[in-house]
Amino acid sequence: MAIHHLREYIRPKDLGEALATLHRLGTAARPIGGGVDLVRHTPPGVSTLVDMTALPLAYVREEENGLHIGATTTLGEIERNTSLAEYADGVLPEMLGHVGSMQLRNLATLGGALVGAHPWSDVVTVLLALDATAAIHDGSDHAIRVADRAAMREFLSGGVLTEVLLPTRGAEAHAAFAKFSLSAFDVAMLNVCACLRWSETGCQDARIVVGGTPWLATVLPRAGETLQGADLGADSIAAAATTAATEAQVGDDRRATAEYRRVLVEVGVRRALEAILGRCKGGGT
Amino acid sequence: MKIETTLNGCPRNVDVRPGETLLEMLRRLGMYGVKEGCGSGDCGACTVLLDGRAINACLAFAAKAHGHTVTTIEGLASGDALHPVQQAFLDEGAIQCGYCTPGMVLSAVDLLRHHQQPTDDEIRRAIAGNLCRCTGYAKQVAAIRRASESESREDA
Repeated sequence: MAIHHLREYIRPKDLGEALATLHRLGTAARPIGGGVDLVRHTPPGVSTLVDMTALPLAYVREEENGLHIGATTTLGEIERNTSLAEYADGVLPEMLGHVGSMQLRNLATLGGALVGAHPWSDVVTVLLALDATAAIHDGSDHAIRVADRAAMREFLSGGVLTEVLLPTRGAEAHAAFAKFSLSAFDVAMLNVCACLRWSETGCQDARIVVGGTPWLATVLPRAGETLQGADLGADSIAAAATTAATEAQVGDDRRATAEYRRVLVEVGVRRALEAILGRCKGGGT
Repeated sequence: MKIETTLNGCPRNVDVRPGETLLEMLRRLGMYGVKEGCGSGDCGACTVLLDGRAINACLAFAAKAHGHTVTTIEGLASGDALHPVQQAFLDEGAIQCGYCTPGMVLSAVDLLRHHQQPTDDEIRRAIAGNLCRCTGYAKQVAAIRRASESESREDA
């Protein structure tokens, strides 16, 4: 359905023009990537869209400090990218296979998913687990950890997201994603991503993230700490899953009760860690 | 506002409203093979190809087509010769009411352009965003497999 109160659709020639337009129009203007959220619901006060896909921000580049993914890269392009298929067990493309249909993923952009920051977002959950950094331009360039939600909000209020950086240290990490939803295309009633480095001396730098709780994804530090230096196996996985279920803040909404979500946290963390175990040791699921 | 797009191989200058969807624009231009089903990106009846990739036309602003190539079901056949995927759908009887068929065919075209020999699992994933409420999916999967086999023979 057409959005009748939209008056202007701007394709900026460069980042400066995009930023100047957004600053000039304030809350009446919104930047868009694929536009899939705003085409369904544009808030009444918004009369102008600034199409960021007009800018050269659709890319995946390997550089010394990691993988740089442009903000307007579509989820479909990320899903098909060969470099990302190798990064951290390919958890980003694996997760995207659970996000809507291919038609949706060929429109929706990484930037839109991150800036939109829906509580059920699978993308945000995985980016948090990979400890990704967002590049935000507000006239100057800023690198903000996705985990630093307050800083993300502050800089995005006066700037635009230009890219996401997946750090080099994550390339060799192991990661897995688990999602629970009412149907194949429904949004998550809970999602989990676990990421860690594993060697003969045990697990290091484990990050366990849960999303759709029904709030935006958060890191569970205590669950991650239970794995520090531990051998990855049935006991350590059970300990991390139990800790996660205790640590996670969960609530009710129309998709699930808090009680049910708490069970899902334990199951999801266990499944994700068992998948990692399988990749590390050739066992598990 | 004016946009310049290539629709089914023909360059077009089109007047669009800022809030108009690609689905609305295409139907206004007579591309009635682009169907509105759910209007929220769930059913796939409005699937078109944007630069060769399947998208939901109901989820895209019309202005998104500026500078890009749009293909609808009307642009697949060459004269009287159906596209191999269209022909395979006919040969396999993979059509009942036909409402989902244009979208289903275009999703299959996207798949076969990028995977010449897809597995049944890849075929099922490629059309997962196209809902059929009549026939189930066995015949569509068979049709797409048939089209991939006929395209492979032509390439050989």
